[in-house]
Amino acid sequence: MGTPLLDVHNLTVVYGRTDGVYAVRDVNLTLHHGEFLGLVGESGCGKSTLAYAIARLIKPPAHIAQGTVTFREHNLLGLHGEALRHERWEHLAVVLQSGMNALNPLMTIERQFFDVMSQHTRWPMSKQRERVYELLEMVHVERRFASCYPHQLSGGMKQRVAIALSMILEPELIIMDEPTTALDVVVQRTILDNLMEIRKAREFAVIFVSHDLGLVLEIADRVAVMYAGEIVEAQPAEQLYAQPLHPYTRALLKSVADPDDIRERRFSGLPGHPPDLHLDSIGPGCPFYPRCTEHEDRCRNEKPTLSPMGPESVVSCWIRRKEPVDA
Amino acid sequence: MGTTENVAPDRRTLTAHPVRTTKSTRHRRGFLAVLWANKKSRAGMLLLGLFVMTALIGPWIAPYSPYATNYAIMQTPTLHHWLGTTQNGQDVLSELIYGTRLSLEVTFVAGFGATAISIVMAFAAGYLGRWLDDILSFITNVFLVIPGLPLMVVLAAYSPVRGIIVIMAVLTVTGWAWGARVLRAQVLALRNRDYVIAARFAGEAPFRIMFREILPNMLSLVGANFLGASLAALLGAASLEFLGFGDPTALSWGSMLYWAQNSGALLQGQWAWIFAPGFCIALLGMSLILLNFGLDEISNPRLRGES
Amino acid sequence: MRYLTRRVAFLIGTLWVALTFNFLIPRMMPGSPAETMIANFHGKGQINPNALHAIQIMLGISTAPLWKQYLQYWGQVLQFKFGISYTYFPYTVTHMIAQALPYTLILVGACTVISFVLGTSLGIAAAWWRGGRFDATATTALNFSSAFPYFWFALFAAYWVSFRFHWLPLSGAFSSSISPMFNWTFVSSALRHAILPALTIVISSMGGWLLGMRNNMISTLREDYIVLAEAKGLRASWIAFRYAARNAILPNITGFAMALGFVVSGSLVMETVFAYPGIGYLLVNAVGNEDYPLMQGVFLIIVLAVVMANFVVDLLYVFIDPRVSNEGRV
Repeated sequence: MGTPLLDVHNLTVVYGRTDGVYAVRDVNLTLHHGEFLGLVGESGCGKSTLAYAIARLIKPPAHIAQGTVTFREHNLLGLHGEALRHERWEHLAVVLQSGMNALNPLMTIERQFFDVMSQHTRWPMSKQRERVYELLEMVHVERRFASCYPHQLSGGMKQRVAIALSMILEPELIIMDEPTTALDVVVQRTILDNLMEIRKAREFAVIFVSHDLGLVLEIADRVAVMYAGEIVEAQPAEQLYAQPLHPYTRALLKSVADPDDIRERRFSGLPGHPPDLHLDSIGPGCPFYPRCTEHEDRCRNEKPTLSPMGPESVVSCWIRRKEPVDA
Repeated sequence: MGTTENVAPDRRTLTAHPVRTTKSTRHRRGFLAVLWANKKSRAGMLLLGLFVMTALIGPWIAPYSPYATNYAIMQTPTLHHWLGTTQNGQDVLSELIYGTRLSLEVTFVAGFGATAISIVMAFAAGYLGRWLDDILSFITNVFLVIPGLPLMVVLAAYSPVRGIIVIMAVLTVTGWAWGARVLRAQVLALRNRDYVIAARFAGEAPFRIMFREILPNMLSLVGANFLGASLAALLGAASLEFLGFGDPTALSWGSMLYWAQNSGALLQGQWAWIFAPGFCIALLGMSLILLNFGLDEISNPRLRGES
Repeated sequence: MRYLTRRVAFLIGTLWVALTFNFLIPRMMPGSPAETMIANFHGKGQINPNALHAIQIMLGISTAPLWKQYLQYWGQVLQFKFGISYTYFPYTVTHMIAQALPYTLILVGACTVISFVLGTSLGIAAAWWRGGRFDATATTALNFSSAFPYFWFALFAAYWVSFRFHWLPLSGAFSSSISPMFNWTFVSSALRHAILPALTIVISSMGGWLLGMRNNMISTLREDYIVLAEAKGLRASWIAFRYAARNAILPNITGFAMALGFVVSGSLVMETVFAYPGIGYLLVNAVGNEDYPLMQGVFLIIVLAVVMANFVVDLLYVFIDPRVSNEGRV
C-alpha cells in the first residue's frame, strides 16, 4: 500500500475558546491513494467540521486545537500563503454541501472554471475552454450552459457543475461534504452513478461525508462512523454492513431498513440526542453510554479508545473488545 | 425568545444524559437583563438614564431660570455662567438643562409614533396581504425615496401653526417608512413558521395571531426600530429647529442652536453655546446607538459571546 | 423586461404621488396663507396676470371644482410653470431654480459619488480585516458619528477652517468680487468655496456607505461560494473583490434611494450653514419668506431629481446583477 495519501493524527477542533465546544476530538484517520472513504454520523457529530479541518477551511471562532494533518507526505497545517494556495485545488479539492450556493451568482459558469485555471496553470484560453466543455460533458451538463449564470441552472445541474469544478486540475483528493443531500432522490441517484462512473476512469481519493449510512455503504470502499466528535468505528464497507461492531453503528444500520430502498434514509430508529460537546459537559465515560442499549458499568466512568479488532477494523467500545472476533 | 422551537420535548424523554442548562438559561433572561449584561448597551442605559433624570429634576438642578434675562449678554464661559450667556442675557447651562425635557419628549414621542405606524403598516401589508400588500409596499417605497428633510420642511411650512406638536407630527409622518419595510419582511418570515400556521389552523382570529403569536417574536426588532426612529427624530427635530421651522420660543436643544446661530455665536467666540446643545444631541443619539448594540445581540443570539 | 416595467411603473407612480401630494397640501391646510401672500404681491409692483394665474392654480386659490383644478395643476407642472417667486420678485420660480440647480447638482452629485466610492472601499477593507484595528476604529467612530447633528459638524468646520484660520472661504459659492463666467478665476474660486461644504457632506454621508458595505460584506463572506473560492486556491485579492465585494455591493446599490435622500436632506442644512446658493438654500429661504410658489417648485424639483437618479441606478442594476434581467432558465 505504501505511504498513505492522507494521515490525520490526533486532530481536535474547538469552537470558541479552549473551554468551548469540542466538535472534533482526537481523530485519527488514514486514507490511501484512490480510496473512497465514507464518513457517517448524525448531524452535529463533527463530520463536516472534520472535513473542513482537513481542507483548511475552518474559520474563527472554530480553530484546530491540536493534531497534525499529513497530506502527500508534508504537513498540511503548516502551509501558508502561496504554498497553501497551490496545494488547494491542484491536489485537494472540495465539493460543498449546498452546491447551489457554492457558485458565485454573479459569474457565468465558465468564468468560475477559468479563474481556477488562470490562477493555477498557464493554459491558453483555447485549452481552458476545451477543458470546461470536457468536464461539463463528463458530468452530463450540456456545453451551452457554460455561458449561463448559476440561477439559470437547476439544483442538480449546479451540483454537477460543482463536481466538475473539483476535477479541473485532477487533484489526488476530493472532499465531498453531503454533496447530494439537498437534491431529490432521483437526481441524487443519477449524480452518484455519474460519480462512480467517473471514478472508474480516474484515480482519485474521496472523503464522502454523509448522514446517510445506506448510501455510503453502497459507494464507499471503507466507512468511518463518527459520534460526538470522535470516530467510533471504521471498517471496509462490506464488512461493516455484515458485521457492525459499535452499538451506535448497529443502531444506524437498523434504521437503514433496506439499503436498496433509496426513499427511507433517516435515523428514525435511534432515540435520544447526541451529547452536548462543551468541555464542561463531557463526562468521563463513553459518550454513547446514555443512549447505548448494551452498556455495562465500566462504560459510564471509563472512556474506551479506538482499538483494532481485525486487520482493517477499529472500534471504540468496551463491550465489543471483550468479545472474540469471528471474522 | 423562541426556546420552544429548539427543543422538541417528546424527543428528549429518552435522553438519560442530562442536557446542561447553563447556556440555554441565557436565552430566557429578560430584555433588560441582557441589555444590562452587554457593556455597550449598559453604557447606553446609563447615559439615557442620566438624560431622563435631568429632564425630570431639571428645574431643581439648573443654576438659574432659563427665562431670566438679567445677566450680561453674549458672555463666553465664566465661573458664574459655565456655558456663557445668550444674546438676551440668559444662562446657557440653565437653558440646556431645561431644554432636555422637550428634546427627549420630541425624540421619543415621534419615535414611538413612527414605530406604531411601522407596525401597523407591516402587519397590514405582511399579514393581511395580497393587494393591500402591493399598495402599502408601494406607499412605503415612495416615502423611502422622497428625501425626508425637504418633505418635513414643506409640511412644516404649510402648517397653520408653528410649534412642537407640528414638529412631532411631521417627524412621525416622515419617519415610519424604513421600519415598515424591515418589519414587514419579518412578518412575512414569521407568518410561515410552524406555530403560526398551527394557530391559523386552530382557527384563531387574525388579530390574535398577529399580536399574540407574531409580535412577541419580533419585539427586539421592533425595539431596534424604535431606537432607530427615535434617533432619526432627534436629528430631524434638531435640523428643523435649527433651520427655524420649530417654535423658537420653546426651550429645546434644537432651538438653542437656532438662536446661537442667528446671534452669530461662533463668530463672537461663544463656542460653548453651540457646542453644548449639539454635544447633548450627540450623546443622547449615542445612548440610543449603544442600546441598539444590546438589542442586536438579543435578536441575533449568534453575536452573543463573540464580543 | 418585467423588472424594467416594474421600475418604470414605480417611477411614474412615485412622481404621481409626490405631485398629487403637492397639489393637495395647500388645499387641505386650514386658512389660506397663499391668499395673504398674493395680497402682499401687489405691494411689490405690477404682476403679470399670467403669472398670477399660475400661482393661483398651483396653490389652489380657485373656485373651480377640484378635478378641474387638478387638471390645470398638471398642465402647469408639465410645462414647469410654477409662477413668480415672491421673495425674488419679479423673477419666475423656474428662473430661480435654474440659477440654483447647477450648484447643487454638481456639488451633491460629486459628493455622492465620492462618498459612495470612499465609503464602499473602506467598508470592504473593514470587513476583510474584520476585528482588526482599522475595522474597530472606523466602525466605532462612524457608528458614533451618525449620532451627531449634521450641521453641528459643519458649523465647527466653518468656525475653525474659515473663521479662525482663513484657510477657506466662509460662505457663498464663489467670491463676491467676481462674476460667474467660465474662466479659471471663477472656477478656482468656485472650487475653493465648494471644498468645505463638500467635505462636510462626504464625511457625514460616508459612514452610511461604510457601515452598510461592511455588514453586507461580512454576511457575504459567510456564503458558501466564498468558502469554495478560498478552497479553489484563488488569490485573496480576487476573492475579496470578484467574489465578496461584487456580491456585497448589491444591497448597497438597492439602498441608493435612501442614501440619496439623506445626502439631499444633508445638503439642505449644509447649504444653509455655508450660505451656498443651491436648491436647499433656496427652499429654506422660500419657506422663511412664506414664498409658497418657490417652495412648491423647489420641492417638486428635488423630488424629481431624486426619483430620476434612483431610476437611473435601478436601470444600471440590470447590468450589475444578471439575476434581475433574465429570470427564466435557458
